[in-house]
Amino acid sequence: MYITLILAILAAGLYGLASLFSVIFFFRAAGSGEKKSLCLAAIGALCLVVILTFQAFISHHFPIFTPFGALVFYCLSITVIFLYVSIHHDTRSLSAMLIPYVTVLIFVATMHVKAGQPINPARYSIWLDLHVLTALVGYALFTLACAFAVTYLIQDRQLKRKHFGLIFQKLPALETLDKLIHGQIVYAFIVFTVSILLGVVLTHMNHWQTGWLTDPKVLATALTWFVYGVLFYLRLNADQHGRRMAIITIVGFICVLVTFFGVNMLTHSIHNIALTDYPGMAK
Amino acid sequence: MIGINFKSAPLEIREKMSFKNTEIPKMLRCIKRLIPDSEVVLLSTCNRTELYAAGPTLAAYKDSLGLIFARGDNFEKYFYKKENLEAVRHLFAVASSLDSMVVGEREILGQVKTAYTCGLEAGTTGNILNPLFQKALKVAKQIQTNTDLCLGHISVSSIAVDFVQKIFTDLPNKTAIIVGSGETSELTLQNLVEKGVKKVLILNRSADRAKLLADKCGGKAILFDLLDDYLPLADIVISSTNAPRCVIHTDAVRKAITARHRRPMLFIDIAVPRDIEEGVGELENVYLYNIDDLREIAAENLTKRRQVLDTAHAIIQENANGFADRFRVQSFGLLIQQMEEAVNKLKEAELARAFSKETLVSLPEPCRREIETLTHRIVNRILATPKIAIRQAARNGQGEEYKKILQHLFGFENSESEETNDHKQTP
Repeated sequence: MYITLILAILAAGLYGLASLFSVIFFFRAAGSGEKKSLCLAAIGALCLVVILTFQAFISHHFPIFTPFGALVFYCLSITVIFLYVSIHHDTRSLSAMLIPYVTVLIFVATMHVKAGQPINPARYSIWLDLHVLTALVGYALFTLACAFAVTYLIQDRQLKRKHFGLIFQKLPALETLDKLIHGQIVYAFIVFTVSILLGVVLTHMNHWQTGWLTDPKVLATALTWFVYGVLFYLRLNADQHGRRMAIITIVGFICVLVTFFGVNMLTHSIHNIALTDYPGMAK
Repeated sequence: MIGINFKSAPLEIREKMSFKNTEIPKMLRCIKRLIPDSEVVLLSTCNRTELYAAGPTLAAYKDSLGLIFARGDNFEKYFYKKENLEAVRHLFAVASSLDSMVVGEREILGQVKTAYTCGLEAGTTGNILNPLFQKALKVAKQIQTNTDLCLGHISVSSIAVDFVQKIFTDLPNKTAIIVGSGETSELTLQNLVEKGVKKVLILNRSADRAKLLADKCGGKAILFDLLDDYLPLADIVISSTNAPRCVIHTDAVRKAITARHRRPMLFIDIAVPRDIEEGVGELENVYLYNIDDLREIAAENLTKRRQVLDTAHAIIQENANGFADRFRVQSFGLLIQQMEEAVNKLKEAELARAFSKETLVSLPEPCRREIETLTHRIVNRILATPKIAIRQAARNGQGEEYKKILQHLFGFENSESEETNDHKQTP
């Protein structure tokens, strides 16, 4: 536990530094400070990998069923995907938005290292791992899509209002952002759909009754899936681009926030307790 | 250095004084043959031709160099000449674009680099010009990175292309429509084609003019009346007609954007009176800029550049002084070396004399080595303080006095150290 806490604090520190660099260098006209912040974030991500590996070693399963583990994996996914995208596209300036977001979540995760109950071994299976993993990766992809969408709207506004200062210079071209939003949504939707299907399979495997259909988490997930399904259709079939797509992407991310965080904070879900096998739960 | 530029000579003179890339190595080797111990680099661009030279015997060839540079023409009245620190500062300013027609332009750095590379390959650079040009390139980079001097364009056509690149990235697959003709729109089109735009449609009421421009840029001439039909295809529209009223209307653009599935469109209206209705700019995913917008940005960028001129000059001054100091110190290296050689020669002679004496001739080898080490250390300790003092004096500009004293004390003849003294010989 202490090793995990120390590593989490180290990761939080690295991400914190990365956030500081990314914000400072965003507002400097020239220089490659964003590279430094991405390097720090990459080292922070390595710490997260070590944490997850260590936890997996202790618990003998993938450590993503606690709030701490889920947040760590979610942050790791965002960092890795963003680093990959930044290598291939001119998106380093977005680190000033994304890395602080990830940093806050890691700090929150660090405060919940001990939170969550151990998973019931009888409930554990590789399908459960895959279900949660794909959900978290899907959330990470949706997060990046939202970041690109927000940036698109900012850049669109700069162009419309003819503000050609530092922000205009630093942010990527609209077409780059449009393509990235599209790419993230396609991958996210596919991965998220796989996660939902795996979830349905798990309910059958665990002989759940149909009460899970009205579970808040399931309903929120369905709404999220629907919104992104609309986006998926609008982009792939109707070939829509531009501002409206960016706005719908942001709406979709609000659904993601509700699904990932809101349900857990505002209500109870059998989704969470099912893993620990509470008395009276649906079987 | 000797040179002419856009400030000292009119275009026709600069044209005659310019060197083609193939002529430069020949000129460099010609100077090298005339002055074998010289180093030379020749910079020739559309706005300047400058010869940088350094060498121990250069002072004697100043006039000949001017004649060679002029290539027989009587253009000396257009030349400017600089020596030593002034020449170093000038080179730094040129490489940093502070001496350019458009301050802050980035091309000159590449041109200076090319000129230096040419000299390097021709074998006409050496211990003075190599570090000088390398330093000039570093200083220029430093100014580019640490100031706003090179940020933002100041020509209308370049600014228009900046907008294009902030909206579109896949330029080879984008279509540009040029409506009408005019110097600025043609220049903008030229810039776009250079950046990679391959599909260009030219619309002009005069079919001949449309065809002429289309042939020039590899585009296609279209009948002007088909403008609304071709709008959905256009990612970029540059309009510059002489029409008294708008030729591109909001409704037509609204239909075009819907037909394009809301892919962004960029309109640049260079005409006065305007060709494009203002309402076009209010449409979603449509970006409209007129000539006033572009000029305002150009003026802002120019002001920003001017504001950093003082900072840039300060950076150049600091680096030029630092370079001159280091050069002065290095040029005394030979003198220090001569001083060490003279003292060591004395040491060796005395050691040989001592070891040949009867009392020491049969001294065991370890003892001999110990005595040699001792004398070596004594010499080093004695010379350490004078060496530091000479280097410091060189930095402070008192090198000449120290040199004369040393030459007198050690009996050095008129040596190469005199000839490599920086005050006489830097470019």
